[in-house]
Amino acid sequence: MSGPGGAAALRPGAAAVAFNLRLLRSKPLGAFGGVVFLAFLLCGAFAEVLAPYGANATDLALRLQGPSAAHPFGTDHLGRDLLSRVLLGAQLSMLVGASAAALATLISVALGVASGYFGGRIDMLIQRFVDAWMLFPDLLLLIAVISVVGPGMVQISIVLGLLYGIAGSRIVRGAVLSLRENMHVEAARSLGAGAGHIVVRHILPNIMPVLIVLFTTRVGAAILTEAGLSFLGLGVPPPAPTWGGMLSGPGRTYLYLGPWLALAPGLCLTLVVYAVNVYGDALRDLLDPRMRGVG
Amino acid sequence: MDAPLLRITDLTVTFPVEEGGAGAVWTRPGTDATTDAVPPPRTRKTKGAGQSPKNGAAQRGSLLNFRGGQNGRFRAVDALSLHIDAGEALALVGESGSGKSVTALSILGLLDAPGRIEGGSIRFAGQELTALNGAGLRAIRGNRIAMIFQEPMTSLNPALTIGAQVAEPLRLHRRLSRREARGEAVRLLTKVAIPDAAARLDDYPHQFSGGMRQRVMVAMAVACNPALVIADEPTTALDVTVQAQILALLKNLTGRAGVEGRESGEAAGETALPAGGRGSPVASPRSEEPLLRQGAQRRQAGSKGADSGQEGAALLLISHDLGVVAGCADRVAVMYAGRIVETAPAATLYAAPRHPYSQGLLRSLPRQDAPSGTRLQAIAGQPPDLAALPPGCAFAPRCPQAQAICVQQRPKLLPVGDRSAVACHLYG
Repeated sequence: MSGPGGAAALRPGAAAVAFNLRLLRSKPLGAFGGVVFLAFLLCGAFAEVLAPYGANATDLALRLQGPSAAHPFGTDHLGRDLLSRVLLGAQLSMLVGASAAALATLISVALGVASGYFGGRIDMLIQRFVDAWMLFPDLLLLIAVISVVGPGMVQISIVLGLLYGIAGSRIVRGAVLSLRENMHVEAARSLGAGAGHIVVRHILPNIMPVLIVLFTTRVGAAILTEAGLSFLGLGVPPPAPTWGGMLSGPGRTYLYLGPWLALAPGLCLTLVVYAVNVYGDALRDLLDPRMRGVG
Repeated sequence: MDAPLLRITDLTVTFPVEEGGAGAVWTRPGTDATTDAVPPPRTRKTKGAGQSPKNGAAQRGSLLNFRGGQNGRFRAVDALSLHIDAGEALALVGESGSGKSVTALSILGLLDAPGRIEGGSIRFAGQELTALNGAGLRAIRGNRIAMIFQEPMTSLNPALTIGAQVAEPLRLHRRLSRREARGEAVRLLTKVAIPDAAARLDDYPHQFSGGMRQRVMVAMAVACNPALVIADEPTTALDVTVQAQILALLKNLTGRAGVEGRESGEAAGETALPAGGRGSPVASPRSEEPLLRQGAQRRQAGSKGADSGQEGAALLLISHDLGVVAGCADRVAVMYAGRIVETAPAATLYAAPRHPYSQGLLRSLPRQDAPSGTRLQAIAGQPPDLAALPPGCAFAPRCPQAQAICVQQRPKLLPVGDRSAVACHLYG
């Protein structure tokens, strides 16, 4: 249980540096994924500063231009700078991905801990609810909700957070269940610790590896799903620069006239999802010895 | 003498007996527990039942094939009565599954479902523990009664620093600030002879050896000056040299030795030192200083009168090892099949055991003064199936001195001589 990875991940400062060095050495691909993901995060965070033009600044004289010095990624059918749109699209993707994953992790922890730690009737109720919820296909539920409340970033994040959170609660529950049997939890009870104290001090720190992995993989999944929704026209509505929207709109229409229109957002999407997945896998391998060699 | 610190009267704890289920693996077709000479293999760990559902399951499995039982439940602890005086060290001895751990967990109200206290009373310092609610019990746990568990390797939280964990009882019960608790943690770790305690506060449990972790557990147990420390097989998972050190430490920090035998207590602390310094040779010379301070502190605490009074904490030492108990306990209670069969001052029990079971236990111990080549004498037979106990004495089927009455009538625990009692018809 006291794997050096688990402890190192939780210690600030020097140990964090040591952990990242270990990641680089033993999982170079994962480290690469982490760096790429970080780069996209930074691009998203500073998109307004980095973008040379506004997302919707049109210049019809310069439409469907190939990549050039002034427009490194070219321009689209309305003469908008594609680099700027991809950068601002990254911001949107990262926002949806991070907020959906954060919400999902919160929900997973709340449900999983309630279910796994308290057990009994609470566990039974929660698990039957999760069963019922998971009967519905994700995309169908998303489409249903969005067709009712209308498309938008906030509702997509919330629905994705709910979807992933409820499904992920199973993983948290499993981790809590096995942890609850640990002697140190019993020892904490014998010291007079209440349920809240035990959960916060003795359960959560020990399921951190699981949560970190859950979070990173959900970021990738949420980005991809958001792009898929935008592709279907159910995502954040135009003219917002979503990657999925860019792919399905000008990307498809002008595939022969301006292939860069589809290439730029498509490659970004592929790259960021790939990066976040290999990073999550590497983290899982390093943090959770039980999962080593699986998947 | 006024009322004892802890008095347990007629405590009965039951567990459900489940036919089939997880235990079905061990059920051989056509067997009948009441007549079968060889019961199913016992898988129960010494740790005892009820500590976790997992153990509960193992226990249910091992106690299959029941015939009797009440409402499908068997008595893991059966009308047990015992008392511990303030500052006294009582050892509860018995083989695996005799109900020692269940008794301990019942005292703290830590018995998990499906275990259930059916009846009896547990009075601690004038308070009825069985009647307390969750908050009331939490206020006592770790504060007035502390517990030390069998497995130091897993009893500490791997994700928290040693300092944070030692400070935990103080933060829970004394509401100390982080800084105060930290200082107190250094003092406690020094008290249990962890060398260079201040520097090791920010270490994690995996950086400590098993013996050192058990010292940390002891430090946590005595943090709030409890009136009673329950040590559930505290040395079982440790190797023999470390066992001796932990026992010396327990003896040093609890019981009468904590007050009367100051010198001997310090001597015990000294013997405990080398192990602490084992990892780092530099630490040994340095660690003498904290020991001196520790002595001074104790004298201070003694003169001031700590909140637990002049006496040190009472100790309930649970063990299946009579050798472990010998040097530590003032009094010994021998358990068999959920009942106490004999209780006597330690010296009396070792010199002249009364109950045939106690006699058998002592005969099965290797002795240094026995001529070489002497074979150890085992007690014949197997521990009984708790769910199918005979109506008479539970030990009767294995007892070399069993009489007709033994299989018919259950002997009562009756006082014999000074501070002794025995449940056997031979002494009726």
